[in-house]
Amino acid sequence: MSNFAITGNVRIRRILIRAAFILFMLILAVFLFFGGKAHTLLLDNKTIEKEGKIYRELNVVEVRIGSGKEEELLKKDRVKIDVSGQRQVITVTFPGDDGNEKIIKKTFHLKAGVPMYLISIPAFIAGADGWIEPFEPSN
Amino acid sequence: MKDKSPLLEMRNISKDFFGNSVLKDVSFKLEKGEILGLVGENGAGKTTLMKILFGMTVIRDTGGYSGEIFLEGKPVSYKTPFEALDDGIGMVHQEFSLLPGFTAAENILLNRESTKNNFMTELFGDRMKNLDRKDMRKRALKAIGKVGVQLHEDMLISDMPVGHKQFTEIARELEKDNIKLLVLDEPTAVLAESEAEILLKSMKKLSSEGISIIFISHRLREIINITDKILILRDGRIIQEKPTSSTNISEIAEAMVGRELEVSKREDVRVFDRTFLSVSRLWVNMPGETVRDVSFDVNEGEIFGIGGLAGQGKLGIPNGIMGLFPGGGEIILDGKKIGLNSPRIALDSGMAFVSEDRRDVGLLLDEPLDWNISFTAMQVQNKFLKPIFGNLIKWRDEKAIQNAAKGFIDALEIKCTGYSQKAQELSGGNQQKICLAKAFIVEPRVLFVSEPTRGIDVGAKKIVLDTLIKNNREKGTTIIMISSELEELRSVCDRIAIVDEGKIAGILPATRPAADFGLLMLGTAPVSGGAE
Amino acid sequence: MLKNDKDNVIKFLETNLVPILFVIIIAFALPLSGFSVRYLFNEIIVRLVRNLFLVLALLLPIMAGMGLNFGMVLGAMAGEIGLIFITDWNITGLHGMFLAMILSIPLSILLGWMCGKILNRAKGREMVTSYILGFFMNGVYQLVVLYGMGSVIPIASDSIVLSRGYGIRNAVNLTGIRQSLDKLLPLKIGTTLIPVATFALIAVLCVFIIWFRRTKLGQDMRAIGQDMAVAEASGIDVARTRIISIIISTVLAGFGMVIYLQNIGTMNTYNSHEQVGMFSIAALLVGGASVNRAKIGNAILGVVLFHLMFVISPMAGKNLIGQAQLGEYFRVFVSYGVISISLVLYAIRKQRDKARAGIALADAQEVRD
Repeated sequence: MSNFAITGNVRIRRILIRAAFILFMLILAVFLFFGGKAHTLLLDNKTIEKEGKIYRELNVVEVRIGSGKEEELLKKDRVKIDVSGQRQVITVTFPGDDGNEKIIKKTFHLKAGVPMYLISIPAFIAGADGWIEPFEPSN
Repeated sequence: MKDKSPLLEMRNISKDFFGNSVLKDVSFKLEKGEILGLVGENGAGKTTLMKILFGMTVIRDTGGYSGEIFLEGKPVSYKTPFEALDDGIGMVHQEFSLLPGFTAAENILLNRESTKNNFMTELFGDRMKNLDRKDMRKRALKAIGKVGVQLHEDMLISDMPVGHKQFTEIARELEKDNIKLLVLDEPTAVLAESEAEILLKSMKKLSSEGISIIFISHRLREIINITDKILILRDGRIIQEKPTSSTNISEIAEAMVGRELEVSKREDVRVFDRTFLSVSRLWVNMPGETVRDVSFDVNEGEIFGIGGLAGQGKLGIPNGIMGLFPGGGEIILDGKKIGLNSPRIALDSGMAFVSEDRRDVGLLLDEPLDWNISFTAMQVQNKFLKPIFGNLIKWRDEKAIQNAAKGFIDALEIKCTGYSQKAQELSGGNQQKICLAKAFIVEPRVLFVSEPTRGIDVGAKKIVLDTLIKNNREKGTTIIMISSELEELRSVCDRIAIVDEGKIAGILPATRPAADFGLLMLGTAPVSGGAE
Repeated sequence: MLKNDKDNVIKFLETNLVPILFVIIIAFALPLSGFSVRYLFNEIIVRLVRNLFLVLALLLPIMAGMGLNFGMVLGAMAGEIGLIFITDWNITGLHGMFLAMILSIPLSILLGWMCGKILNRAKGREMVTSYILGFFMNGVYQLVVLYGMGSVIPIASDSIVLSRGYGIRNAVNLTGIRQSLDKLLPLKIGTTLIPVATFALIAVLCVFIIWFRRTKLGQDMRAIGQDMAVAEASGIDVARTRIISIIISTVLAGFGMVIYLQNIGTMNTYNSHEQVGMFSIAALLVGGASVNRAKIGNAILGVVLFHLMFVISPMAGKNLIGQAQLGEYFRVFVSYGVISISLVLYAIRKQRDKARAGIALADAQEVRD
């Protein structure tokens, strides 16, 4: 109806706004996808050997992922933690060589296609490169 | 500034529906601000003419029309009514097209609402605009002001008296700012006298403001009072086009009904001495054919005609008496009171009905002719049933059914391949004869025949009418025939009642001149010495 | 005007027959069940959270004169498919819930458009058509979910795929998103946990519905709901408007299904949506809505009454005749019963309105005597 005649300018503006809206929805979906993606982290406190180096297990260590619960790992412990989102912060508290408590905090990224990671706490403390690795459950 | 070309000119308009010509060479002009009265009997072509003007799809679907239409000198041909509306032609229909749950303002501005933008509009389009109620009220009030009536813009249509609905419809057309021509189809039919006065006054006002009006009405008094020019249509032709000042009611009535040349070659008036069927204060709620207050007596052996324009209630009378539509009042047949609202009671008391709706009510289209003819008799009177096992089971007597059917096929000259042909394969005229046979077979004491010749060709018409007369003369059946065709009634009936606005306008012997009946139909005062 | 008062009372009873009946039944059963007020209040909150959004999704088609949209089952299916994907992708929490909603939108629009197209060909018989259409699409849904998923459509997670390698399991565990919305903004009143965030979302929908009624499109829908022919004659695109109303309803039903299932926490892959359609419609009718008239208030009252009945009837049944199954039996019996009563009442009312013209005629005759 004449009431609703749409002029060219308005038409183009509307197409743009609608395209932007759809784009926004897609971006939102992508954001939700990565932000909500759940991963399983295995926190491992065992002696391992990597590239010829040996990283010794600790007697006791406290680990926290993000703002989650603090986990206490004794010798040879392995703890499973579920997290969601790609960007995670790990906080490790352990007794240092001088007897004082030391805290290491680090931000790391998880890949969306990897459901499970193994984190080796001894390697992490030593600052080794391969402290976090994808983990394939063997079943 | 004087515009030379008239506002509207229709030139040489002809239209036929599949060879059946309904408009022949109609031409007329309408000046700006002029009120044209368009009169004519039902089927004279008024409605078709307006449909052509508005580009109704039904016209295109049936092969279009010939001739030309000029609006302000420019040739136009509308493909849809919306195009006509865009050019400033508005129409107020006979039936209301209002939404009962909406207010007057909402109806006046239906689909032309004032709106405001909001953020959703950019995303989901203009229809997400908010309604601007304040502006809508303002515009509605302005339109109501144009009509010149007191009308509350916030009142729901369902709460309105019928006159206000009519005004709302007119206000809706006037709200369009480019309105140049307004077509009013029987706008006063539903109005009380005082309301009609107001409407006529506002029509005058509109015309003085330069809006042209085509006024269709069968109330000749109104036509005479208000119009500048009168156009009379009969059988699709313009019979008379005169300025209103140079004509009068009886001239119009005669021109409308016409056929004064036809001398009805009837035998002398028959005299009856015994009232057989007496109807008093009948009302029937049949949509479009409401009967308000009808009383009449029919004599034994008489053929009684009921005529009147479409929509005035004549069809409601038989449908009500036969119990097909809810109604009330008193029916006395041969001294006995007959209950209403039950077809079974009506049938059992010896009345039969040949409906105007033969395809839906009259016939079992998928069944053979013998079945169709015998069905009612079998159901109502237990005819054609053979008792078996001492009345435990009743069996259809096929042989008797077939013989009866054969008899009627011969007597009524029904053109068919045999009694086992299906009803839907017959032509309209022959279907009508089957309907008659179906009624005759129950040997009714009173037979109602509604529009017996509607939609059938001339030859068949004569046979149908002769059949009725023959049955009346030979079997003495009292027949009440309802028809829109006055000539048909005058040739068959003894007396004719004319129904107007749900009431009997008058009952006259069939020998009276056609113009007398015409005047009754047009709601003018009954002729002196009219009612018996 | 005594007669008028009486008429009004009768009219009120007539339009509210179903809710009144429910109030009476509940009034009888409530003491029998022996439940505490606190428990019942808790239950009502849970049911409102679960079902209200779904019930509200039904309002627009009623406004557009298309009756009760049994086709909302299609939206529920779309919502479920969204949930299957996010479960497979292991998207948790609010992220997962909203992603499921977004995933359901295109599917709901497609299904709603199709449903609307079909209903436009079955004008006047929308309800039975959409009801059967729901059954038909259930078949398509089963085909896709039972055979397509895991074979054609990649599904990685073993926990939701049947052991044969394709097809989704009968029950899908939604622990990842379970009550993620409900627990976003918890408010404790006594022992009852009020999920403020979910109610906020429902409130947003209510505001949308009220606002929508005041738009041009809403006005067009109301017009169509009253008289399609008149709306068409005034230039409103009736077919398109009807389709839009069904699409909106379907999309909202999809959202509603996601909210419903996040509250429950497990998804009954092949049954959830079927029941949702029937129970939502029954709840709305219990709230006093009819085929051509429904308000937000009807939806709220309906959910409260209908589910209160379900909560108390097993215990009442048990205490009365020692059988708890009575409640389960009641659920289905009552749902179908309510829908039947409402449809019959609607037909009667329609007939009566027609007869009213005749009554007026008769009155006109009497006055003159």
